[in-house]
Parts: sequence; C-alpha cells; structure tokens
Amino acid sequence: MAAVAHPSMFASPPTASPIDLRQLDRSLRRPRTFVSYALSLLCGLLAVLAAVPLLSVLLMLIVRGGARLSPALFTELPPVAGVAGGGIGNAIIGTLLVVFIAALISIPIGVLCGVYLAEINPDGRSASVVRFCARLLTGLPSILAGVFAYGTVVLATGRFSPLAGGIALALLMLPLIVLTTEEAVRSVGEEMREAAIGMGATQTELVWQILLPTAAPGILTGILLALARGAGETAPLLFTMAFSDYWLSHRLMEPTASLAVLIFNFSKSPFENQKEIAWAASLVLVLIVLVFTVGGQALSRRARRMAGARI
Amino acid sequence: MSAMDSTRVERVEAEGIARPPTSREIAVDRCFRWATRILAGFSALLVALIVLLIAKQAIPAIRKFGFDFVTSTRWDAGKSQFGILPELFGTILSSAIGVALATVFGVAVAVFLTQQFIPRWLENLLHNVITLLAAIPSVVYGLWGIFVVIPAIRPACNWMHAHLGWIPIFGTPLVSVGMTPAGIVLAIMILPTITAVSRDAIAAVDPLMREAAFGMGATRWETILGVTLPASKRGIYGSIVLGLGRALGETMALAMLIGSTNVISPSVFSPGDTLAALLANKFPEAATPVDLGALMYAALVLLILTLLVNVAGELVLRRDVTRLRREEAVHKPPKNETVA
Amino acid sequence: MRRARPTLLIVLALGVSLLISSCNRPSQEITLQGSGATFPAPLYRRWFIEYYAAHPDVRVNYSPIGSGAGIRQFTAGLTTFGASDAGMSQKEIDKLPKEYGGVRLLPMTAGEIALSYNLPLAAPIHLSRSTYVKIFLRAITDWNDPEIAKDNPGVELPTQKITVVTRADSSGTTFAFTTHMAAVAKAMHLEWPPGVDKSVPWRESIAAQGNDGVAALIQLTPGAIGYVEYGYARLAHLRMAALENASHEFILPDETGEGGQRALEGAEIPADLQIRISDPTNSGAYPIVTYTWLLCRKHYDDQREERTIEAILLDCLTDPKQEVARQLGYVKLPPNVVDRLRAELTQTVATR
Repeated sequence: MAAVAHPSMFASPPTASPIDLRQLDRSLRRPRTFVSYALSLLCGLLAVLAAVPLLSVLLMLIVRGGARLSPALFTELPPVAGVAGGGIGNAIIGTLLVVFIAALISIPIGVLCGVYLAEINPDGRSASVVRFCARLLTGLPSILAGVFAYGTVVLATGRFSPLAGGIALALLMLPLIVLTTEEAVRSVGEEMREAAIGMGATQTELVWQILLPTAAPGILTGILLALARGAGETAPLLFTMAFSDYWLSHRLMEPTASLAVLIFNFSKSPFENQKEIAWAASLVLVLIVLVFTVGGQALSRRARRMAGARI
Repeated sequence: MSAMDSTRVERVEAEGIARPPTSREIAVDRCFRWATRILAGFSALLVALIVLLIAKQAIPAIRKFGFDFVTSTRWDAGKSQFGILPELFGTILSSAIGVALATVFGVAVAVFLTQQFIPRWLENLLHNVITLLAAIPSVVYGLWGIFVVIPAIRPACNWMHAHLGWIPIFGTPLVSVGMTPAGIVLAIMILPTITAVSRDAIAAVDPLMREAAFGMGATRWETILGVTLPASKRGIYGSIVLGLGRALGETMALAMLIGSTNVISPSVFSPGDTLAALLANKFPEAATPVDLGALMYAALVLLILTLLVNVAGELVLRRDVTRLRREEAVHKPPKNETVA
Repeated sequence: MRRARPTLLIVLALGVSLLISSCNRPSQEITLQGSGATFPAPLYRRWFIEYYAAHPDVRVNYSPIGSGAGIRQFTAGLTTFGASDAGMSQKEIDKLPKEYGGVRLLPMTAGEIALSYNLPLAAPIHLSRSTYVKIFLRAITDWNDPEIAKDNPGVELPTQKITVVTRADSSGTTFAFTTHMAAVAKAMHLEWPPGVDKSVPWRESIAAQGNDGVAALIQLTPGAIGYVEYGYARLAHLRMAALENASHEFILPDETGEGGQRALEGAEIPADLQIRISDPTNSGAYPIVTYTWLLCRKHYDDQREERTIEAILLDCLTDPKQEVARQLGYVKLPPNVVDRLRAELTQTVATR
C-alpha cells in the first residue's frame, strides 16, 4: 500500500539526494498543506454539527427529567392517572432484571459466536452463513423480536415473564455482540497470534489469554451498545413482559415493570404528572447505562493491562 | 500495584515457557472449538426459526395476494386488500436519508475522535457521551423529533419548497411530519452505532502504518484518506451495516414522525410510511389470520430487504478487497527474500 | 480477567440480594392479569390500584396493548380478563375456548370523542352534521369554505387549507368515530367510502399513533383537524368544536360530561350488553359517544379468581369510583346500565 517503502530508495547513495527541507515546509500556501488544513476544519465542523443534535437530546432529557429527580423517584410505585407524586422503583428493578437475563443469554453466545467467525473458522462456508444470519438479525424490527418471544416463550409458559422479555431483548442484542466481537478479534495483530502459537499455545489458550483480553475494548463497545439498546427497547417487552404497577412478586414468572414500557406508556399519557415521570425515567435509564459504560470500561482496561503483564 | 505485577510476571514466566500443549489442553481445545461451533450454529438456527415462524403465519396472505402484495398501494383491512408498495418505498427512502447523513457525520466524528485532533480525555468523554445516546429510548427520540426537529427545520424546508419547488424532491411543503424529519431523527439514532464501531476500527489500525506515512512526508489528511481509512474499511462497512439494519427495523420513533400515510411521493418533505411503522400500528389490532398474515408478509418483505442490502454491500466490499489484494501483490516486495 | 471475577461476583450478589429484598410475600396474594384497549387504561389502572390500596393481597395488572391484541391474549388464556373498545364480534366469541363457558361483555365506562382543531380563533367553531362529514371526506378543503361560514355567522375564518389528522394505528376510537360518521352520512344521504372499522383508508390525511400522537400533530400543524378522545383533548388543552347532534343542537363536550350522559340515556340494552350508540337522538346529547367493554369468562377454573374479579368490578360500579371516571374525562354510566351490570355480576354469584 501507500506506506510501503520502495526498495530502490535504499539503493541510491546517501550523498546524492540530501533531505529536501522544503518537503517539511508546512505553509498554507502549499496546496497539500492547505487541503489538509481545510479537511481538518471540515471534519471538525462535521463533528460539531453532529454534536449539536446529540447535545440537544441530552439537554432536553436533563432539563425535563432532572426536575423530578428525588429519592422518592427510586422508592415509590408509578403514579396512576390523576394522582400526584410517585416514582419508578419497580421499573428500575424490572429493567435491571430483564437486561441481566438478556445479557446472560446474549453475551456468552454472542462473544463465542464472534470468536468462531474471527478465529476458529473465519473463511469457511458455515462461517459465512452464520455471519449472514447475524447481519440479517440486525434488521429485525424490534416488534418482531417480541412477536417471536411471544409465540415461543409466552405461549409455551402461559404467562408474561421477565424470562420471555429477556429472550426477546437477547435476540436484538445478539447480532450487535457477534459482529463487533468478530471485528475486534480480527483486528488483533497477526504477530501476537503467531507468537502465542509459536509458544505452543492451543487455539483455546490463544483465544482466552491473548485475543479476548486484547480485543476487550472493542468487544466491550459492542456489549455496551447492545446493553444500551436492550435497556431502551420497548416493543419487544410490550407483549412478553407486559407491565406491572406493583413491586416485583416473589414469583418471578409474572408480568414485570420496566423503564422502557413505563416511558412508552407515560409519554403517551395526557396527565402532566405521568409525563414528568416519563422524562425522569428516561434520564434514569441513561444514567444507568452511564454506570454500566464507565464500569465496563474500567474492567476492559484492567483486562488489557493484565494481558499485557502476561505477555 | 507494581509489586503484584512483578510477581505475576515471574509466575507467568515460570509456567509459560514454550512447550507443546499437553493432551489435556488439546482435549479442552477441541471441546472449546466445538462449543463455539455449536453456538454459532445455534444462532444461525435461531434466525432460521424466526424466519420460519414469520413465514408460517404469513402463508395465508402469501397464498391470497402473491406478488401483488408488493406492487399494490392499498391497505384496507376492512375490505381485506393489502399492498405495501408505499411502505416499501418509504422504508428505503427514510433509511437512505438516515444512513447517508449518519455515515458522513459518523465517520467524520470517528476520525475526529481517533486522529489526535483533541486531547485524549476529551476523546474518551465524547466517546462515552455518544455510547450513552444509544440508550435513549426510541420514544424520546420521537418526542424530540416532534418538539425540536420539526419546528427547527420547517422554515428551511418550506423556503426550499417555495424557491426550488419545481424540483420534484422539493415538490410539497413540509406540513409537519414527513420523510425529512424522520430521516434526520433516524440519522441521530444510528449515529452512536456507526461512530462507536467505526471509531474502534480506525483506532485498531496499526500505528506503524500511520507513522510510516507521516515519515514519508504525507500530510495528516493524506494519511487518513490514503492509509487509515482504507485499512479500516471492513470495520467502517460493518458499522454501516449495523446502522442500516437498525434504520430499516426502527419502529417507534418512525411511527411518530413519518406521518403514516399511504402515498408515494418523490418529495422528501411529504409524509409517508415504513414497513416497521406499519407493523407497530396494525399489529395490536390485527384480528383475523389474514390480517395477521398480511402483517407477517410485510415483515418477511422487510427481512428480505435487509438481506438484499447486505448481499449488495458484501459484493461491493469483496470487489474492493480483491482489487486491494491485487494492488498489494504488485507493490509488495516478495516476503521470503527479506526473511532469508 | 481472573482478578475481575471477585468484582463480578460482588455485583451479582448485590443484584440477587436486591431482588430478594424487593420481594414481599404475603401468603394470600393473588395476581390478576388483564390487557386490551388503550382508551380506558388510565381509568382501569386507577381503579385497580385504589382497590389494591384497600385490599393489599389483590394485585390487578392491566396492559394497554390494543383491543385486538387484548382479545387474542384473552382467547389464548394468557389473561384473566380482556378489554375492547369495539366489543366482540360473533366470530371472535366463537373462537373462545369451551371451558370459558362463554364471555361476559361488561360496558364499564364510556367516553366522548372530540373534534379538535388548530386555528387561532377565540370561540369554539360550530360544525354542522354535513360539514364535519364533508371535511373528513375532503369535500371541504378550506377553512373559509361557505359551508363552514354558514355554521359560524360573524366569525372571520382564516384562509387556510384544512389538514385532516387521523389515527395511524388501529383503534377503538377510529371504530366509534367511523361508526358515527357512517350513521350521519347515511342520514344526510351522503356516501361514506372509508367504511366502518378500527382502521380505515382515509383520503389525504396525515396520521399519528395514539391519541397523544394525534393531539401532538394537531398542535404542530396549523389548520389541522382530527378526532381525539375528550379526556385527552381536555388535558392537552386542544380546541374542540361544538358539533350538531341529531336534534340539531350544537353541543360542546365539557367537564361535566353532561352531553355524554344525555347521549347514553335511554339507549336500549341488548342481552349481550353490546350497547351501540351510533347517532344519539336525545336532546342535549353530544353526538359521538362510545362504550368500552371489559371481557370476562363466564366460568373460571379457579373459584377464587372468579370471586375476586367480581368483587373488583362491583367495586368499580360504586358511586365514588364512577365519580373518578368523570374526573378523568370519561362519562359516568347511566343508572339503568349500572343496575343491569350489578345484576349480571351478582346473579352469577347467587346461582352458585
């Protein structure tokens, strides 16, 4: 590629061409430099332009949701129509529970699937079938994930439950994790693989001790995106986990509240109090994801450091 | 901290001397490889199961309407007439607007976040903010579109209609909801995915390559455009696939912003409809097997659309990769010589 | 990786203990699950949570997922009761499992549907029967149309196109609205091509999901008109039109719910309780009114479940609970319907 030095460069005697210092000149009058600066400016401009709507969404969330942030929000049950006060305590627990179930299903399957695609059998026909299926799954409308979990889990168990909701969410999270894991594992340098195999590592050891820790930040990006998406999805939960106005029952296989469904229902409500709670719930949802993101990144940094120590 | 690390290093050195794997390790290895294989097969099976379940429910509608379903423009459950051409058109147009915007901005942000334009801590901060945006529920994006985006863009859009209305794509005024607001909000929704994934791909490019390019006197942008981006092409493409998938399947926000109208208009300001929004709107009240079948048929068409887009993308990428390989073969000095 | 595990375990342990601590376990607890129509959802939830406050061992959940899905889930046996804005058709009733012993359709509450619009006018505009039908048929497309001017003498109507806003999702509201429109159109000897259904093919309209979507879209679009449930329109501060009823009076829906109550009075109660009021003729009646039904099995395998649901529903018919309905923008049930429902609910208790 462009960066590969041509052998003939070394052949010429060093005295014949002293370094042309003008090459290093970075005056704006030189077209190459000018283009470079202009592009930097353009790129910065695009980034700023992209940041404007993003910040606008966040700002709207903070302004509208922040007003209702209080301890009561976390300890009380959702308000019904025409009643003041209330909170989202049961919905927070429900969301944590369902995302936990979804993560328990989708992360092991997704990561190992990604490893299979990137390392175990990257070029085989079966890999391309699996890869293809994963890509197809990215386009699955979230409501269909709900329809699927309804048709299988809910009808089979005869009840709405966090398990059915978790399976529906896992379907949406899986392709994100598979594809990002594959990409991350692939991008680990070839020399690390060769060194490990040269040391007599089996492929399993290579995967667990070298590839996964080194690729951890990339895999984590995928997992976090997936968790974030899962936590915010409404449509798959509507028909699988339904909603509950009460605290989680000791029988776990029951309709359960979740932040996403609460936000969906209350944002459609005409009652001012419920609308405010919906905004506050959105903010809390984002804050929960923030905690996951920061925690996850700390874990991945650690994994990487330790992989470095092991090598 | 450092003490712990040094003991660890010693231990690793003691047990990590190069040696062939023991038979136990080989057995574990074999089991693990089979485990990944089974899980991979399981995910493929899962997709097949979903498609089958949808197809099974779609059969009454497929039998009844056949291919007319895709070419007819009328959706009237009362008279049992179903056609999804406007929805198909709307899905493609809104996703195209969304993905085009999100790709340009997303890749620009990804470059901005990886090429030392700003301090490291700021890069990390921005990256986290963008990941957070993936968590905002669709409904909130929908509300944001209604309360912020539409009022903000309406004057500009209607100015374009007034002055450039003779161009068909600006042929109607923006009443309120429509393709443009839907596309813009869609772009914002998939921006986190595209940015986060392509940022990782760009960051994973071997720094040696960049340094080599700089060393040869390339400017920053010659390096980015000539070395970094081509080297991370696969990852960027992957990010676009993920974003596109999300755009095609996005339900709630679009149902709020697209206007759900059964028309095909070349104007980007006109209201329209999408397949996913159709599903969300009609599924809760679908009563008869034919109604439900028609919706599942629409879902099947949506999956086929996703499939076609992916196949097309795959072909483009494969052509690029073969071309790249051919060029490499021409430029690269033969490898064995340097080793010898 | 290895050192990360303790942290993970701690997080896990915390999560599990949080779950366990959040579970309360009274011994007699019973949970009933219902799902269906979105229109009565705020009222049902309010009723059920108030019942829970008085009887902490009875938890009733209600998911507003739409009448059609509600009937499907009720038929599949997933829910204890369903709810539908359009009642149930004979076809749907035939599909119910045998062991239900049939279905009881209980009109638990009713509501008015308002025509809301977005025009900078101080007083509510008046729309005659032929005018509002023609607006939704797109035969009238401008606000300063002579027919609208005739209904509103002395009002300066703006020169503006009418944008019709309809429901994108299938809904009981659309069903009730089109039922009424078809009845009026028939009385006025007009064609009504859209037909009567939960979702119909409108001519040239923009559509939004749910009452909230329609309300937001009306507020966002100058010159818009659309149909919204009254309770919603009131809370969203939308302008509402005074509509001409069958006895040629212009009636505005208001907080007292009087127009709605008038419309419900004296209607014939069929044996299956599917009371239809497509075009009320009473004097002072608001023209667009609809009941909404709760669906119960005639026979439950679990005796306790059956007794509980009957007790809850009887409680909902009491005066304070019906007053709550009025406060939330629904129409109070007329006394004869309340008596009929009470008889229906106690009769089955008595026969056992």
